[in-house]
Amino acid sequence: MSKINVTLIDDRLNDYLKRAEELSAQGKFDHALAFLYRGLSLAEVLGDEKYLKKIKFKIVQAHHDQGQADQVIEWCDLSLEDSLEPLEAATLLEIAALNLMRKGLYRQAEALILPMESDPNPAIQLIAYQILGILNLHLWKYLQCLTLEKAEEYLKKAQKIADKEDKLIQSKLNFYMATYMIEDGLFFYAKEQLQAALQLIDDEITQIHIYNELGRACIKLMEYDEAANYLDIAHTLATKFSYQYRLNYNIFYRGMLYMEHSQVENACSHCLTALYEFLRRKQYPEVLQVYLLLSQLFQSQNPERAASYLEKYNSYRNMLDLRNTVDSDTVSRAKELYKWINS
Amino acid sequence: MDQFLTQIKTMAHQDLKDAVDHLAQNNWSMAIVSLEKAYGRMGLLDDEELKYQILYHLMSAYLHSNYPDRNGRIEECFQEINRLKVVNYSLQAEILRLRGVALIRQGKYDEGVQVFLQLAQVARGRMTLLVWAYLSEIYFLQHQHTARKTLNLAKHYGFKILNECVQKPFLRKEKSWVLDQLGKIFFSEKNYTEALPYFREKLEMTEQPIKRYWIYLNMAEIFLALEQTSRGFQYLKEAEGFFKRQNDNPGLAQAYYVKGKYLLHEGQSEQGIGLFQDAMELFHEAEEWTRFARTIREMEQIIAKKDGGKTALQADLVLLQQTYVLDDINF
Repeated sequence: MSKINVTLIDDRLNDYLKRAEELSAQGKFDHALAFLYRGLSLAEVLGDEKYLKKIKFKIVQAHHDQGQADQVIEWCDLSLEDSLEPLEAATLLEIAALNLMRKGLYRQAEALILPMESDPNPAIQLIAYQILGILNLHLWKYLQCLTLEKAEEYLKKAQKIADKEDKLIQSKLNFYMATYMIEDGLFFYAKEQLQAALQLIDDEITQIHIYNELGRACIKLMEYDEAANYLDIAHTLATKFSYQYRLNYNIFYRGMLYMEHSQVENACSHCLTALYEFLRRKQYPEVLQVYLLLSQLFQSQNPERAASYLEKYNSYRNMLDLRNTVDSDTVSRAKELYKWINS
Repeated sequence: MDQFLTQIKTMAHQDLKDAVDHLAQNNWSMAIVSLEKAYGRMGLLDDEELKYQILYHLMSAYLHSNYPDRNGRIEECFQEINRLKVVNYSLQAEILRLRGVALIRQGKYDEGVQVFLQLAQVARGRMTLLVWAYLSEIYFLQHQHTARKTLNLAKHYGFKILNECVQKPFLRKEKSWVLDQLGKIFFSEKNYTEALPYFREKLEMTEQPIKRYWIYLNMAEIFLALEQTSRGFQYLKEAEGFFKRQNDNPGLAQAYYVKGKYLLHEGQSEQGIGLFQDAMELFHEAEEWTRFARTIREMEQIIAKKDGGKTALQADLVLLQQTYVLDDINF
């Protein structure tokens, strides 16, 4: 390949990546992905490993931001075939684990992360502690495992080693702590953590998630006006960026708010809308939550309907149980991966 | 597709081969990856004809995909096609059709109509009937979703197709489609006695049991509207029984939806809404998005009526793309 051609490819590649970055910042992830794929093909032509890794990572991130768990897992698999630095590999494994958790595959996520717990690199340890904290929280919440204390332990370990100066790390940790606190009934502290996270983040797209959770914390605190206010902000932002994935959580939480105001039908229509979007995205833990809420909603008014929702809840719960038996393949694959990262 | 295959002689060949495989298997998301990759490499070449074809296939793959912003991507591909100095008459009509469908799915009716009117100018033969069918369906949807009174236009294009079918008896598929469409249009303007003969004629020309029982469900809805509930219920019962025996989920969902309407009519609103929900679940499982969207919308209207106002959910449904659904029309 002549020198001119290489320069041409390089320029075009940079152009694609720049476009992808601009589009991601506007929340246009599908458009960004198109340019990333185009860039990927040019990086393949150049055979430039640095570019290839960078682009694949961005593709994973864009799918993750969209809440497309299946695609994230697929691309993580592809990216892990590249030669990665241990921290890069750990970050990819973190994203893969988060997306396995979105689908309710907790044991598979655990198998990926557990080996990282004893890594000498504190940055990798931090990732492991955070994910294991959230994972144990979910195991407690959705599968009734006795892992709440373990969740707290992991998150506290993460707090201890996290870089206090790094805003991104701190906001993420605040967010995870808040998630734990909401489940443990520490709603006031959860709200504080989320407000602290909000202070550290300028990016409006990330703020949507925090505003949504602030709304949820306020619902639990029975501060309904404030909850409505936070959910409205999240709604405005999610609509501004056409961010379906986060909008759906907003719809669900607004359903919860209607439930608190005893507006049964409105609560029901919001929950059902959210439910079908969760089902479409195969977010089974969220599906469980909605069914449970629906059965509570109709408990006194229409016990028959409440029972039918509870039945649905149980069938999805059983499905999650079944999906969470760890097969030996997953464990050995995770061990292999870890060995390879450290080699 | 053949033409597409013969041109796989460029540096983008492996991606294009992959794309062809994925397209053949309806694996839309992987087809998009391969096509975008191929297009990325094409950026280095001057082969505008091949770029044109890749963009066309990209539009098609996005249309079928579940990408959240697929309609936006279709529009961008269309704009890129317009920048190319290529005229491909065989693909031009199909490209316009894809763009038109994407516009309607975003609720942009006026722009969508313009595209199909433009298409009507260039369409020939059976394609003309297909364009008229789209126009009829779009005007019908516009009437349903907006304040515009466009049912007469929907009827106008429906009758144009019917007239052609009367003159050319071999157009059986087109006739079957338009009978259903006209029945649906008259039903929607509450002209039930006018709607009934279209469904009856469709029933007469339909032999396949599954299709016949779907028409039974249409008839059941009409008899309910005409307050002839016992007669309608008979049709409904037979159809429900058939779909249960066949384990046909889409059919059963539609039966539940119609049954829900009967219960609502009798004032049993709780049970009616419950059946609507059963219908939604089955439509969801069967990925029948148009019917799913309609059921969710009607349920919301019932709830809004009960609460004396419109709920705030409608705009969100549009964003979640559960409202404006225009299916592919296939004769």
